[in-house]
Amino acid sequence: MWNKITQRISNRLALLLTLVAVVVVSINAALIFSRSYQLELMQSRHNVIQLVEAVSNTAAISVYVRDTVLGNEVVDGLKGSDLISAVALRTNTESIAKKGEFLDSKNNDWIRYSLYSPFDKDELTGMLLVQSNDELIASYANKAAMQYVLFMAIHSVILILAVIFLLNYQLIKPVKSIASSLHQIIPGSSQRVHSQMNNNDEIGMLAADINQLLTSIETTLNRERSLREDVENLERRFRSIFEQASGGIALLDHNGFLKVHNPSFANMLGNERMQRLTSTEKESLAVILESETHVLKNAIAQALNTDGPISLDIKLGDETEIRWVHCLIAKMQDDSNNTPLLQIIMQDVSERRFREQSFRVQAELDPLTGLFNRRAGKEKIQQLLDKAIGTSEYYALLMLDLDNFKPVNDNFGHDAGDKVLKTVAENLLNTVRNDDVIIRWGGDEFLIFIKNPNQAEFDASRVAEKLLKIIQVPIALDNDKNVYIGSSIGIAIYPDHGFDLDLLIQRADEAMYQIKSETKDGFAFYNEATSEKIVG
Amino acid sequence: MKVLSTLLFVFMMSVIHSANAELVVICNKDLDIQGLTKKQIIDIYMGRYSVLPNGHKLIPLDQNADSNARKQFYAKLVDKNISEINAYWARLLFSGRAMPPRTVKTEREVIDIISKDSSVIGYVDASVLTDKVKVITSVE
Repeated sequence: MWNKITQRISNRLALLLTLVAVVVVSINAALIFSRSYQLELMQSRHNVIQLVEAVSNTAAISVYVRDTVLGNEVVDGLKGSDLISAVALRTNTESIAKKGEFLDSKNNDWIRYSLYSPFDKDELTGMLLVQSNDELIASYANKAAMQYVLFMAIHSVILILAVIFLLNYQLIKPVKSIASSLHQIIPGSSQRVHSQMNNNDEIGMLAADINQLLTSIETTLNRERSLREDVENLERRFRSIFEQASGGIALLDHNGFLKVHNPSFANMLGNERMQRLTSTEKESLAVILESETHVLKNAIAQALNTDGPISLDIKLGDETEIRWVHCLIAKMQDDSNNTPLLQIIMQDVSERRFREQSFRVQAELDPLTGLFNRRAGKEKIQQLLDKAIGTSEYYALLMLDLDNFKPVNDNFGHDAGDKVLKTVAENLLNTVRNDDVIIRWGGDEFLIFIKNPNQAEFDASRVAEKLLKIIQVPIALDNDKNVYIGSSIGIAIYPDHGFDLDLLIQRADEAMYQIKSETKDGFAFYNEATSEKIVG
Repeated sequence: MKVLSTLLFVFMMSVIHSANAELVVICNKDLDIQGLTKKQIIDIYMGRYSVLPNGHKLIPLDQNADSNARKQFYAKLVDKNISEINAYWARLLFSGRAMPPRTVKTEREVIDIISKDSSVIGYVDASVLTDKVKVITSVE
């Protein structure tokens, strides 16, 4: 209840003013009372003395001639004033007249008025004793002082009421109206403060300034709102780009640990890898791609040291299929601290890779037999020879030419010939090791490159014998007829018969022609002496 | 010229007379008093008392109200003019206890009355003194 009253500024002000007024009026009243009481008292005393002085001449005469009648007249006259309670007139020796009772206790308050002879100012003839009616005087003084105080109190009350009213009307009410108006305004809205009094004083200025402030808040908020909407839109667009990008996008810290990624990135890596990347015991991206760890680590280190992006293809293999992704790794500067981040953008390039691979295969193989064609085969062999430089490895080059093939073509047609060539090719593939190279060198010519025989000539001989034997196996045609063909094989050994591939081929060819011209269905090593004979 | 000088003489004489006029308080030649003080004369004339400490009663005589002698007497005795003296007596007349002194018309009459009554005192100009009275004191 009390709080509710003092909560309002007008009530509090009125209360305080009243309190101050009560205090001030009380102090003033006390001061004024005592002062005016004293003044009234002094005035009364003064009046008494004036009365006494007025009759002093007559009193002196009556004392001079001891005229009691005149003396009584004087005494009666004085006693007639209610300010005086007792009067006595006496000569130096005897009493002339007396009226009223002198109170001994108030001896000090007696007024003693000396009387002198009317004819000799030096002769003291008597005395006029007067006791003032102090009780009455005090009550008069009291009454007068009380009236002063009452007057002042009424005066003060009127003044306070006027001050409270004027304060309320001039200051509190307009401020209150502004305050309550402001209280209901939501910042940023178009509402404004309405001042009750449309004036140009400080309160009017306050209202105007508040409105100015509200306007600037509104504009600022509106601008911020539209800015925020713009930013949100932009962010949404960026997010959708990030989320819906077909490429995998991720941020890594400088150690290769995953910070942010998009769904495509997760799809590309697969659930199992993503779990390892995001689990509590995080693993670096390089570590989880076992087969590519080394390459990726190098790429990350390189990306951290250069400004441009590093691009590389990595293989994401699992049991069911192999995927190829093209990665762009680039350094980024994080705003918050100085450690660099890595952005990695992955694009699935499996399709292209596979297509390329198939193109390459098509370009390298003989379409009929599925063996290497002459160009691709030579490249393969050359690569192997390049690696062999500086080692003690041996290689054997076998030039194989079919015998009796032309009659098959002539008698049974080209389909039968093709069938024979295919069968021979399968047989060759089944006979040599996987990393040996077989080339369809010409129409019915084949070149076989055998890698690293332990004992060059012995091993090459064994392979040649096997080949001769398997080619001699009759081949069944579609019309259930069998054809019998044979082969002649010339062999050149690297490095014994030369380092150059073309030379080796030429020498194997020479050896093949030599055996063909001699026996057929046999093999021969290159022999410098015989070859010269043939050539010669 | 003679007339003028005569008038001047009379005027001068009158001035000298008034300046030199000496008032004396007198009583019956048979009265045996040792001489009154000025205060005693004032007290007697202003109605304070009329009996001397030795028991002798004295009655004061006053001169004609308008006379020059009376005027001079009170002026010299109590330093008051006639109207002040009249006011004084006016207050006392009310009670009747004290009465102003009896008035006689001439100085001769004063001397006559005093010469016949030994309880009366009066004042006259020293120039009119006779042997029927004796001077108590001179009023200065």
